Amino acid sequence: MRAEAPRRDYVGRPLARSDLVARRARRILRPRWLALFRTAPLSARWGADRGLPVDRYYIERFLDANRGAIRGSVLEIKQSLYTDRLGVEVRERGVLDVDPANERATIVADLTRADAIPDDSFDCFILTQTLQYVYDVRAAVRHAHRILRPGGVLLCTVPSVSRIEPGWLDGEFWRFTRASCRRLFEESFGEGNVSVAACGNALASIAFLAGIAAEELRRRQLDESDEYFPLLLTVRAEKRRAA
Amino acid sequence: MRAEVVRYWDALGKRKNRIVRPRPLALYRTRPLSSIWGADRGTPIDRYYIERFLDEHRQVIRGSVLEIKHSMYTDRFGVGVRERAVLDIDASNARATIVADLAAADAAPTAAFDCFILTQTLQYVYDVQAALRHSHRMLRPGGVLLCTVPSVSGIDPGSLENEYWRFTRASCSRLFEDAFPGCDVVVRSHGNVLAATSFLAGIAAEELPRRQLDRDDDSFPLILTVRAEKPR
Repeated sequence: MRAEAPRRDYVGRPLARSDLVARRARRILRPRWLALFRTAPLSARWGADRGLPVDRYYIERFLDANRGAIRGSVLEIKQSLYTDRLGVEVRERGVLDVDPANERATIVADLTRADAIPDDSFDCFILTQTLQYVYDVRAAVRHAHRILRPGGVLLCTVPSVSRIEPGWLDGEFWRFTRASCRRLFEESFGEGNVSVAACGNALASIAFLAGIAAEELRRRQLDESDEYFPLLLTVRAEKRRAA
Repeated sequence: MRAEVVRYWDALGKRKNRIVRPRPLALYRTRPLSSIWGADRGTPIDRYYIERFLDEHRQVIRGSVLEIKHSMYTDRFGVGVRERAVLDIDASNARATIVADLAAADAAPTAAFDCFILTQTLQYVYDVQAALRHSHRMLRPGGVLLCTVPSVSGIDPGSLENEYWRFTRASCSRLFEDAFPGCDVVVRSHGNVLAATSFLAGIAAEELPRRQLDRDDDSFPLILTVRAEKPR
């Protein structure tokens, strides 16, 4: 018998066999095509109760492709999930959260007023799906640039299409496009130091909104990217070394 | 007679598109069923909500009315319109009476309009705050801004480099609080997950039952509308 690979959900919690059965049951009880007829989504949690949320597929693909940059002193938001999972030669883990109740947070600060964090502190900053909750995005990006060491890399993802997070009706502000990402990050990082990529297509966006999981689409469907129908945008920005 | 024939052919073409590319295909294709938001199948779903919103606010589309690019909605929904003004950034637009970038519209007159119809425009303006400040400045006391912005949409073909934002109820509230201090601001979210996915797929409003379109779900806005009234 083949040993089963340890399976975890996207926040790193191990999945029991019963979870996998429950996911499959949900996919059978609420088949994809129901999305054509219901004004409520098939899942209230971005498809996490059916499988991997589609946006996580792209976030993980992006970070995986940029593993090489996740090294040295790494800052992440809320938890060190991706630092632990994908980092190579991580010397130091920092966790930033605006919420002082978060025990994992090593720095409690609002990224738009993060003056308490010294300049040139990190080699890598993993900033996934966070900027949509920040009203003053430009200030947040300025601080992200400031706290990176010269040569340090910001790995950022932002949504272009998504439902509003339950409970965040008054705190979720933005959806982005390639044009806004480029402008926003070039303002701080300078031209030529920013690469923005659009992930997803109309089908992936529809599935994500409807609460259909990544496993319910074909890999080649997920991997086709259509610039006109981004689901999320990835930004890799490098702080230029002083000349 | 000729207009009737044109209309007939147009309706036939739309029906054909709906038959050749039926709705369920949207769950199997990575490309939308229409590349123009469903306009080749019927009414684009965002237009359904925009028109519903403007229709509900007919009574404030009066006096001196400013609109972007053309005076389509002023002509269609206005009551007692005295003067029509059209603002466009593009100087080659013959209908434009004011050529200006809304974010730097210092050339546009102050306190000149009773109503400003600003539909699906702010996503193309990088500095939204500046655009709203100018909108506020151009309105007369007692004037009303009727604004709509997208929350879910494909990128406009040809606007890859200048389509910046998608909005939420929270950003609309904050933006207008800042730019329209002391004004009566009402933000409303329109649409639901079915409307949003259909819009992305290029399915037209006529393909969904009215009662499904009219169910608004705050968690799945398709567009947001803002009515902001400047106090007298």
